[in-house]
Amino acid sequence: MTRLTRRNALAALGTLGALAGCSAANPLSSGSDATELDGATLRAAVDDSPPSVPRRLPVDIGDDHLAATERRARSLLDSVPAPLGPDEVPNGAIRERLNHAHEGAAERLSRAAEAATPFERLSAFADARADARFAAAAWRAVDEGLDREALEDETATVREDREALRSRRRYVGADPVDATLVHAAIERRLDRAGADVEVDEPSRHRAGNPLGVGETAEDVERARVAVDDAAHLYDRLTASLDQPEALRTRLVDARETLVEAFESARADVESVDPDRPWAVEGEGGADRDTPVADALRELYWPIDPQSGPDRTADGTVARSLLTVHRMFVDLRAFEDLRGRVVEGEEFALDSADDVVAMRAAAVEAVRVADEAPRVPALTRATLADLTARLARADAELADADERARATSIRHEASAYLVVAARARAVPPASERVAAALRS
Amino acid sequence: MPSITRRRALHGAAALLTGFAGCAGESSSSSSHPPEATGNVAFDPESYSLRNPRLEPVVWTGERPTPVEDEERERARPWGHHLFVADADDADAVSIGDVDGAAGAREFLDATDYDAATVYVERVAIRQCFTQELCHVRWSETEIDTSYARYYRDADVACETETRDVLVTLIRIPGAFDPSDVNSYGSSRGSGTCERRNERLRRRTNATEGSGESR
Repeated sequence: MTRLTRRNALAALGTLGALAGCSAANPLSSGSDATELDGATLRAAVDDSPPSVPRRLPVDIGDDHLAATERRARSLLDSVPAPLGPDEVPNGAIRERLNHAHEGAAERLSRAAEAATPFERLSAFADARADARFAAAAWRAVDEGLDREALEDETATVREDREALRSRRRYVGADPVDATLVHAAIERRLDRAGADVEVDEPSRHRAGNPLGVGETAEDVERARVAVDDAAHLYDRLTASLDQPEALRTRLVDARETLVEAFESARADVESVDPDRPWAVEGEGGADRDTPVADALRELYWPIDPQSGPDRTADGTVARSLLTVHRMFVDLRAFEDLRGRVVEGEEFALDSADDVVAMRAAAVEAVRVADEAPRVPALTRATLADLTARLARADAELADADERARATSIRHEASAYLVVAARARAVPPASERVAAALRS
Repeated sequence: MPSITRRRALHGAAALLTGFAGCAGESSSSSSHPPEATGNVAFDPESYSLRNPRLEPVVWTGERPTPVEDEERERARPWGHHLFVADADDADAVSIGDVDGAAGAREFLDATDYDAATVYVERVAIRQCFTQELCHVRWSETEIDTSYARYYRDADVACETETRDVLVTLIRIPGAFDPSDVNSYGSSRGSGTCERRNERLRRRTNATEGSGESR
């Protein structure tokens, strides 16, 4: 299979101008490259509170478990003097890495304290532990001569625990949609605690370098926390079930049905040119270097049969179901946005008000999708990703210069178009997946 | 864009080398991209390194180069980048500054059998907290390319992140050749071990040879 590289995609996209018959509007030739937008208007646009959909998992995460993982993070962090100075670690580059990891862990711990949901806290503690363990182990290597071999027993234990969880885990649940979300979170953690947990030859450092010891310990800690969190999620799931129902067959069947339906829907996507499936015929701003061209390319990318191996066929059943869900979202979002371009919508970027309008549309689309969704957990899981994206674009606009060049805002404008299109596509995609899972 | 003063300094440095190694002036300076032609390759060749925390000439031929006053300019490109030692006369013409290990470097040059080997001297500026290990050298009549693995130095080495040292590596290339036609110089370094870097080159070389045979 020919892999369509990003470079190829961009090159092909460059031909959109000709296809779309809009070369006169090509911003490269018309000089709109230099268009400036009013920075104050941009900054004011992101001054409101954007919608935020927190990450939740439909399983009850125990306070004891959260407290234990937080304690572990803090004890690792407290074992390192901070900040380390030249007396403790004379090598400035190594010292910088240790101090940086310590700061990162401390920051993640404060973020965990502010997290809106237990699931977000769980993830923040996991990240904090990885950073803190790196700093703690590297410091012990400097201070006490800790070496990688000392981590072998712990590594073996993590691997055994992972295998034990893998062999006892069954695809049980009550509601198959909720179960899919919880099992996907478990699968993600089991994969993360994967084959890289080994005390093998250091790849980047000389044997005995404290950073090599720190990196190995960080990997072990990541694996440890992933296995522990996965086991906790699984145990809480099973404990919540009066009569655990075996769902594997149901999940596998749903995946098959959905993949077939998706492929058939994708085959129906009409393209002006089979080699450039995202191309647009007609007027519109779909030529190179416009936000909408970027957005179309981004939305098409995950559903492009050329863009890589089939991501729905791997062994992790629940995760691949979420992948199919996401592909339905992208397919619909792509068709919707492209249809609007074909109908003549320009998505021009001539003034700050254009960006404000794009953002308002994204915010509104998220709000509507978040309002009493029929498949709340699945829909909101995707909306959480979209609001995170929205927040990143907002953060960029909040820093806009007084006279912001349109080209420098293009990426954010494109993000708003993508968020809006996806948010509109999430509820129907969720309903489709839920129907397949519950039928 | 280099200032006129710096250009002159560079030109002076390059000219120093030109007489000796037959370099084609400024254009012969280091490229961050290794040349494509593989020619010959030596994995883990014998080498000897000199490290100088002072921004002074370490290895040169002819008159001792005058240090440029502006420290930043010196850091950017001090005193020639590379030279070849192809016979005993060349070796006699080489001067080595008063740095740690200077005697060993002299010994390395003198102990080389120039009927069977050529010494390539390469200088780089390296961050003070890092060191590098030579993995392999590739050469042909017109090109030379070195590959290094970069490592953090030990934790107890006192160093600053923003400071650079001068590191000169003398490489004993296992082949006697006339270096006067060499006009392309490449060098690369990365964070992988030499084992990995060498393995990658072996794979690439095998792949190229394999595809040649199949045609």
